[in-house]
Order: sequence, then structure tokens, then C-alpha cells
Amino acid sequence: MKKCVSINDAVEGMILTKPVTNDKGMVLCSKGTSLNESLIKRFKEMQISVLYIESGIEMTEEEFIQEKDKIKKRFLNIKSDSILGKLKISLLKNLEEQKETNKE
Amino acid sequence: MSTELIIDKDSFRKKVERLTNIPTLPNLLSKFTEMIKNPKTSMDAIGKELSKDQVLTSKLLKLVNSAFYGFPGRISTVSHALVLLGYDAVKGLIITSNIFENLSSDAFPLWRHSIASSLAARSIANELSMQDVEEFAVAGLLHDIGKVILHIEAPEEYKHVIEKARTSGRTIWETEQEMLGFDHANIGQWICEKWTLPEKLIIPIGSHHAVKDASGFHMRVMVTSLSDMMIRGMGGGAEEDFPLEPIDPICEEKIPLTQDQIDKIAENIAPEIGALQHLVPEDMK
Ligand SMILES: [Fe+2]
Ligand SMILES: [Fe+2]
Repeated sequence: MKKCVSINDAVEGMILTKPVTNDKGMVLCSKGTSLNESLIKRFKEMQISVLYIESGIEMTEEEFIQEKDKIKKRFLNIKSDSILGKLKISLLKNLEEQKETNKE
Repeated sequence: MSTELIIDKDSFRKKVERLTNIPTLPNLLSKFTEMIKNPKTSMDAIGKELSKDQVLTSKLLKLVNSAFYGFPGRISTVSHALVLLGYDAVKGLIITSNIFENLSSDAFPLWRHSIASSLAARSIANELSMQDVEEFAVAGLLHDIGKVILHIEAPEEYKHVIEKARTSGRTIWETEQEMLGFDHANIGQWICEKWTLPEKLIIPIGSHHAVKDASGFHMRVMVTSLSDMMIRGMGGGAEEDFPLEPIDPICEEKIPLTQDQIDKIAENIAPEIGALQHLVPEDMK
């Protein structure tokens, strides 16, 4: 499962699930990279504040369904072709993606 | 329908305007406002003046430098904050860092909701290529300041309001209107007027649940409202389990964000919302 950690909590061996980019959107480090001390130090110097990493925790089918239900409940009164409808689509897509990360 | 109102509006407003649990604030803010009015005063001079208040300086810098406020570790002096964020945003932040100190733990979700809404507002404003993005962020941060005040000043009554909203299936602000005769956006407006914040902040805060009635700064009002709703949609609401109400149709028309843009905004803020769930205001100190 994807997870977001503060740079201060980053430790060697964590796997990036999202590329690290600088202010201008330039990729400094690609997805899938395993962190090491020197990378972490460099990110700190570049004032990167958060990293997206693989948590190592599996999302169970049950948790997945629960999360999905929560989203659906929140958006009960929202039409799908509205701004908030688009957000719902985003969230469901993200949730699927999170689950996908498990299988890799 | 003549339901009895559980709080008297006029006396509550007076109470709000007299709020004294924000000690150093009124003095310093009026000084700050005076200095800004004089075009000859340099940012540097204002920065130096504000820096004389040690407590305030450290609170302000901690807030802007926290990982959750968008400038992690990047702002080292008050003058620097003024240059990067602008006067009005700094003023809003000073208020924020003071008021959020007085929260009891049952209002922590509200604190998280405020920080998250601020992130969303910044992200949306960026995506729409707005100017003064930091002011959008501050409006997001302060949009529910009225709720904070209800939590502090009328906790029992406010619990009733939330319960009533939950059982009736109405929105919280409508239930506030029903039971109090005013809502948290009104309170936000009163207090921001008292604090002499500029209208570009007062109006978005005061109109975030009544977008159509806003008397100006429509784009800011809409972005503030949208950021609140997006965060609630993402599970970052101050009260759980309240389904979203549809957003004002005018927002659909004026904020034509594409699916890709919404994806990007959601992707940006989702991890922060997740991480915020485990934080309390203390962590920002
Ligand atoms: Fe609100
Ligand atoms: Fe809100």
C-alpha cells in the first residue's frame, strides 16, 4: 500500500511509490527507487518535505470494500458529471491503484 | 415554524467580538495594520517590528515551516514570510496560530480539516493559475474559524447542533441557522471584521456556505467552498459521516476543472490528509 512519510521519518530501504520532483517538476528520483542514506540526505538538502513510499502493509479485500463504501456514502448526493463527481472518480481510481501496489 | 433559538445572536456576537483568549493579538494586529497602511514602511521594517514579539515570531515561523503548510523549512524570518506570502496572508496566519492553541481535543478533527482545506485551496488556486495563491490558502485555513469559536464558546449548544444535523440529515450550517439563527460562516465574518482582515479574506470565509450571496471576490469564495468540500469528500471533514451536499452550480460553471486536474489535486493532497490524521496541534509547535 502507498503511504506518505515526512522526510524526517524516511529510512534506508523504503521504496518510492511516486517520483521525487523538484520545485519545477523535474524528476530527481524515479518511482521504485530504494532509499539510502545519501539520497535521504540529498532530499533534505533540497528541502523535499514528504516522500511517497510502499508501506509494506497489504490492504485486505475487506478494507478495500470498506474504504470504497465510505467514499460512496460521502458522495451519495453528488452527480457524477459535477466537479465533486470527478473527485469521486479520482478517489476510487486512487484506491484501486493503492490496492494494485500490493500485487506487484 | 417557530423553533426556539438556543443562543441569543446579538449577545453571542458581542461575546465573539470581545474574545480575549487571544492575548497578544489585538494590539499587535492593529499595529501591523497601521504599518501596512503607510506605503513608506518597508517590509523589512514591518518584519523587524513583528519579530520583537518572540512568541508570535516562533509560532508564525513554525506554522509556515511545518510540513503541512507548504513551506517546509524554507522560511527563516518574518520579513521573509512577508515577502513570500504577503501581508494579508501573514496576518491570517498570525491569527490562526493563536486561535488554534485554544482547542480541546474534541476539536482536533476541525484543526486537521482546516489545515487540509488550506492545502486544497492552494492546490486548486495553483491549478487555476490564480494570483496571490497564499491568500487562497489562508482563506482555506480560516474558513471554519466560526466553528472553532463555537467549540470554545458554546461547546454544549454546539454538540446539540451537530447531533440534530446528524439525525435530521440536514447540513450543519443549515442546522446552525435553524437552531441558532446564525451559522459558523457568520461568526467567521464577525471575528474577521473585528480583526480587520481585508475583505478578500472576510468574504470567502463569511460566504463559504452561501457562494451565490457573496458580495465580491467570487473566485476566492468559490475556491474556498470547493476546497472545503473536496476535503470533506476525501474523508477530512471535521465531523464524520456527513454526506456532501451538491456544490453551488455556479462553481461548476466558473471553475471548469478537468478530470485530469482534479486527479492531480487529489493526488497532491491525499497523502497529506492521511498523515494529518495522526497529528495534533501540539505537533506543529
Ligand atoms: Fe464551513
Ligand atoms: Fe469546512
